[in-house]
Amino acid sequence: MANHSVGREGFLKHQVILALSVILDDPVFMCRMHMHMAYRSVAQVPQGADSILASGLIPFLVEKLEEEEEEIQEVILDTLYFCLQWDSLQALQSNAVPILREKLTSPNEDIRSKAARTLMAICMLLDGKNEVWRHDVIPLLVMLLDDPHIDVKGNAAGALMFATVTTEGKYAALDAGAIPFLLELLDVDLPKVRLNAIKTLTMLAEAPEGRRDLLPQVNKFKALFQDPVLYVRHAAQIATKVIEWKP
Amino acid sequence: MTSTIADSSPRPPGTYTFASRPRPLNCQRRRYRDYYGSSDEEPIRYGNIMYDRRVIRGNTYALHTYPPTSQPDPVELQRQQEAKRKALARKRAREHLRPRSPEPVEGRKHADVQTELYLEELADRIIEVDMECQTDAFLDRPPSPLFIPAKTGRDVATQILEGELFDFDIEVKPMLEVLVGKTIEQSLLEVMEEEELAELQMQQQQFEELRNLELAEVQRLEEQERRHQEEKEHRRQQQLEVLHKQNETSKKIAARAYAKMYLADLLPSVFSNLRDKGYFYDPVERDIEVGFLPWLMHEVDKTIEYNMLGRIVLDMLIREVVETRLNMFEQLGAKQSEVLPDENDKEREESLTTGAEQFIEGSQRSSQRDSQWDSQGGSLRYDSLDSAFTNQRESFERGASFDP
Repeated sequence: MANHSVGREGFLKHQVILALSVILDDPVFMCRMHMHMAYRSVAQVPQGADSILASGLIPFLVEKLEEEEEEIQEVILDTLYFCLQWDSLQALQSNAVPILREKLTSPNEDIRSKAARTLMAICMLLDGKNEVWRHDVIPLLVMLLDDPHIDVKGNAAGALMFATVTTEGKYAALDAGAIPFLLELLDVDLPKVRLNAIKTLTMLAEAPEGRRDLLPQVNKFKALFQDPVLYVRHAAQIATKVIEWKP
Repeated sequence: MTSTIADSSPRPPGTYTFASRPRPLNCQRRRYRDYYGSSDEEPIRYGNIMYDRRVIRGNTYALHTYPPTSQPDPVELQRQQEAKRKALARKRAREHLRPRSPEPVEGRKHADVQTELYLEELADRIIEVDMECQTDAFLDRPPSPLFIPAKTGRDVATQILEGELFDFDIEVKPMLEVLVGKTIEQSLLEVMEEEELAELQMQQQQFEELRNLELAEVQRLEEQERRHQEEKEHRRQQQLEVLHKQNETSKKIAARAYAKMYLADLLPSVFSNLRDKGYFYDPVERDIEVGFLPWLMHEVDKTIEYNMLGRIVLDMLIREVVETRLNMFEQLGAKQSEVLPDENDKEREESLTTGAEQFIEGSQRSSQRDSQWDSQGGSLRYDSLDSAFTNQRESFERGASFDP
């Protein structure tokens, strides 16, 4: 029902979210699964995300992340991804970053990619960025850039993209040797991965060390000017501008 | 399970009523082995009420109803006792009537004897026969047989001959068309919906990517701006500081130059002042001045004192001499005045007295002059004193020369 927007509005009007939260601890697996899927659909709308945040469910969801089975974990990670783009304070308070950090090393690749996506959402706000840097997640993300699964690479690049906005993040990523991995990612087929990689490299190029390392690779960016996707071209242009900037 | 039916009518206290729903009584006898898991699934075994010994059968009008009280009624008790006695009496009567063999003679006893052909051994042992009885072991309850209800109703049969029925293939076509058509339509709709959803998803994803991208770009630019601002602020601060320092330095230099200039004069003036005040002295000179000259003066003073003293003594001597001479002269004068006129006496007296006064004045002056002794003009004064003294002496001699 939550897949339709009318349904979502109905949800919000009748405070169904709170009622559903009672099922969080239900022993029946399918019950919980469907409940989490409903939450995920609700969270995709900003109002829905707001109401989920307002009802204080985030700490519970984070707890459940640790305990639940993998399928439900994926759904929870999706829900968190949508909610955390707006306000990551509750998640940070409930210690979400270390949990997500563990999930990054999980053997299941879906979980890894979704965990990376959720970290990206956390990093969108400044508090999240600082927390992520403080918990040393950046080296893990850089390692994930080398993951065989393409989705994981893309999401890890996205998370790095936001995490490297701050100066500390930039230097942490540079220290972890992110640049060679990101340069490889530029050749990947999936446009999302290319975009994220270009953006991350742009961030890193703001730092003088980054610029120094990237200057010999400018040709790669110039090659991307002919990319079929419009946004990739834009991003490549911005990147070259930043790399060749002289103070 | 008794369920008391609520009695709404008020009943007098002390009356006992009991009511319960009809229920089958549990049969306690089990025929099959008990095992776990069977308690709830099988129907509760109940005993057939028709064969229950607890149920009263037959005439119920003249039953022995036991009163509810536990103690038997004394009347009943008596009756029972009487009945017992009567039964006993009857039994005895019957015994009595039974024909028996006559009593044995004294000293003899009746004994039972076997009279058959073959004697049997009579042992005191009672013949015992062991009888065993054992119930069968509990078997598992066999599964309930399938309940196949007896056939009821009437059997009816029909037979369809060829060609009597409709042609299935022709008839089924429209229905089939409808069915299949609907199914396909439905499935097409579903597929299209799914495709649409997939499209939407993709678009959403793209949009999200773009949004993330833009967000990242915005944040990066913000960060850049912030850093630039910080850098500018920093530089500005530095510049300000440099300026400030320069200012201070120039002020310091100006102040230093001014102070130097001001103080340039100070030193010579101070020195000259000091020199004027006599703070710089040649130690030898000073020593001479402080030590030697006072002593010299003192010595000179002493010498002159002595001189003076001598002169004063001399003066005193002379004065005495003069006074005696004066006296003598006066006496002489008095003697002569008898002869000479008085003016000469007067003159002489005057001149004597003036001479004496002059002499006294001179000696006073000399003593005054002594007190005015100055180190620098010492010798000059000495000369003046000497000249004063010679003047006195001359005056005195003049006075003395008056002596005829």
